[in-house]
Amino acid sequence: MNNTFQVNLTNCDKEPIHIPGLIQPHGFLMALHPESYIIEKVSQNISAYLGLQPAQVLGKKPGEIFTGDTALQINEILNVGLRNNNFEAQNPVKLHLHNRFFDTVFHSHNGHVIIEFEEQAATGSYITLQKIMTTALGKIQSAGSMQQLLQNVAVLVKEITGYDRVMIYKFHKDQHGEVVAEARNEHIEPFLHLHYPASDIPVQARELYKINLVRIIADVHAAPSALVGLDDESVKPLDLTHSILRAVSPIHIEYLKNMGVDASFSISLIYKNELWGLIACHNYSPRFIDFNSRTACRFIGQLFSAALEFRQEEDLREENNRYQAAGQKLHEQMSEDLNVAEGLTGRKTTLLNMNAATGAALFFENKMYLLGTTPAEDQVKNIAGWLKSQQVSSGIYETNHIAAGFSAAGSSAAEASGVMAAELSAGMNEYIMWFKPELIKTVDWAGNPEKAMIKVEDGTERLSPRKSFEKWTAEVKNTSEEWSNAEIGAAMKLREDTIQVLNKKSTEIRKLNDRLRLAYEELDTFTYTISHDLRTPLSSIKNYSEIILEDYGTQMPEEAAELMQKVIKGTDKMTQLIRDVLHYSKVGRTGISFKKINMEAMINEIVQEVKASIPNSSVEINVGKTLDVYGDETMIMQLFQNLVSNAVKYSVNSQPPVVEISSQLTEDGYILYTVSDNGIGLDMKYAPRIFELFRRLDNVKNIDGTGVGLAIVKRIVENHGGKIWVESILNNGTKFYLTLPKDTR
Amino acid sequence: MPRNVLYIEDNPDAVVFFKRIINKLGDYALHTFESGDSLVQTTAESEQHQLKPEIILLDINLPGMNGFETLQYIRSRSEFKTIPVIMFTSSEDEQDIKKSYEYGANAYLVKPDNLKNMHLVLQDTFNFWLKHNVA
Repeated sequence: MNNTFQVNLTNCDKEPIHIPGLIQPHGFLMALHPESYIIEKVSQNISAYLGLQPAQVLGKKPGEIFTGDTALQINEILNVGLRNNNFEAQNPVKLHLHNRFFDTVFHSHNGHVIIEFEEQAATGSYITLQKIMTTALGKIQSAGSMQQLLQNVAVLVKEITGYDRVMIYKFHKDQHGEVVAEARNEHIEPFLHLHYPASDIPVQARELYKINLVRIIADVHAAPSALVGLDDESVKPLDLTHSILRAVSPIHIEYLKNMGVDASFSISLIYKNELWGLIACHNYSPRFIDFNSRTACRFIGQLFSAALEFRQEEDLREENNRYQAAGQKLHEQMSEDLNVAEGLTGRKTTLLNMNAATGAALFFENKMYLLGTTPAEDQVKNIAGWLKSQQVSSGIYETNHIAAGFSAAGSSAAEASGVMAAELSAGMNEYIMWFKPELIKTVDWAGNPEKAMIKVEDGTERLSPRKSFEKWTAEVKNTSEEWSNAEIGAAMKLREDTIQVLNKKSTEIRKLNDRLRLAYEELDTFTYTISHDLRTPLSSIKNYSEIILEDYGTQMPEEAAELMQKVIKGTDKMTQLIRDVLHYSKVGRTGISFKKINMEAMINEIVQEVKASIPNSSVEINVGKTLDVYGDETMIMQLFQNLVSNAVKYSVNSQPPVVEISSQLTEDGYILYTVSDNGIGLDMKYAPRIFELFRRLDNVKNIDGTGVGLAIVKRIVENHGGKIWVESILNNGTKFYLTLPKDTR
Repeated sequence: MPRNVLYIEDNPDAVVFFKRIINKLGDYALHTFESGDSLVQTTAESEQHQLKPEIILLDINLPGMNGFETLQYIRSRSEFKTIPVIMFTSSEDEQDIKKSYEYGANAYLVKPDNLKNMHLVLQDTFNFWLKHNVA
């Protein structure tokens, strides 16, 4: 049978390794038709063991080849095994053939019963199952930590099997492998903590490892033996999936040769039905261990897998608990005074306790907080900017390879190759971010990788641990350790908690706002009431003063009469003040009844009124464009009355006073009014103060006023959703700008 | 015969000024009550009381019943039904003005803030309402 499939590094994951048409030569094989027991395939090397050529065997039944008791025994096993559809209980059958001892192993698979004859080593040291079980259980149970468990098992397997090197090889989530424990002869180079690319053990090889829990390669240099078949179209190719003698893929043989390994033995470690890893045993000379020893090792593997499952779950639970507890603590810290930033970054427990990240960043309320080892501030911002463009449907985004999506992150890979981000508020650019460093930086070496055995005979690309590691290094460049489920889960929970705190905080703020609004309303009512009540006694003072003057004015000294006049003037001023305050508070108290206002009519009316109030003035009031606004007629009237009369009042000494009123439409759809004068102006330094209640500037102290007018103006503008500002040059003039709504909106 | 004027006002100072002015205005007999409630006390028992006002001046801001409630009471009494009621207050509130007319006031007078104006306003008011009073 010819194997025409040419294997190289690019296609070895497609190599049909389960039907190689070859077996390892430390035993021989025959395959029978399951009903007729006719031998359809046999390995070429049967001649070396039984002195029979394949042609002498093919087409016959075992009973015709073997004699006496052996023939009977084989027939009996075939009958029982096929009836029960299971040969397991009978394996291995000890046969004595041609003065040699064989462990004979039967199995039925894919249209054939396969019988494999494995010669027992002359010096075979028996390992009893019972001895192994006792020792193994003790070692596994006594292990305090995962690492210790791994180490104990490596040592145990080395003791039992006697291989030069026993490694426990773990497959990571991305399928790349790592040597996590090792027991070896003293003189050989350690491989502990070496990483290997996923391609070193191709997918279909992994599948076979799940089926064949133990696998021996007795001598990589021994030439494999070909299978020879009946020349019959009906004979199926032989499926060696379950075969113990199945030949090894040439690429794997080469791999082992490159490492200088002559023999290997592997035990599969299964965790939750997946290949967790392997116990890989290497020998630097050919080595064979018999079926029973291998079976014993398989038990150790299973025992270890179970322990692993338990231990792994315990570790996961412990990790989970630790992260959840940190999250709980952070929640408490945030809740204490509803300070998210302080709670997450400023106390004893920080974001860094939430997972295995080495750096963290918080973007909150336009501030950035950095913890631990992070890229430089600008780079963190760049990464955050990139995150924004990623779909974060669950609120959590994680990657162990930022540079894959954002190549600029490569420059900060040492601090942040991986990132996990929790979005706090959509569109607000508020995030919690965690960083994990590049994996290569985190690898610690048991030995110097430069010295790892390499054999590159002809300069072509060869697999070797060293080359593997280089390849892996290239694959994992800019890559961090994966984010575990516990880490992601804890981050999700923390995100929920943080959002809850934020909501609570915003509720608090809303409550505060409500209280404030209520207080304002009360204050307005209070102002209104008090102003009202102040007027009554004030008018009594005034009226009594008037009576005194009227009735006794002629009898009192002239000076006393003048003082009485001052009392009356004082009460007048106070009455005016109260009246203005009343107006001011009324703007706050009364709701606005919006309507379209004919501004041309209103402004003209105001201009007439103002002019009438100063009959002999030369004041010139120019009215430009008067665009209609949308607002409360009474308030808008009051607003312009105040502004226009102010303009006239403060420019009364100009020659002549000129007041201009005009309006225009702004780009954002408001009406902008301007009211300007050529009066005394104001110092722009104090410009913001002029809208404050009772505030009057120094240069107007000789002009009557209560300091309420502009406060009312501002209040009216703001109640309409507009803005007001002022431009002025001292002794030159003042120009007020105010925006008012054009329509409903 | 002096003309009977009824003035309901809680502020004694305001009463003093009012009395001073109407004494100067002419022959008026003034009856004052410091609240709506005291008016009710005097008049509720029977319509045969001594009060025969020809004009009523009424403050709005009163202790107990306010001016509007008092106005309602006045308008509910047959003996006061046709008597002119003038609201006499310092409030310039639009709502107050509107409400006054709704409850049946004949006029709304804002108290001037000096005595000279008060004199003029009251003189005018009495001339107008007492001349036209058909009662």
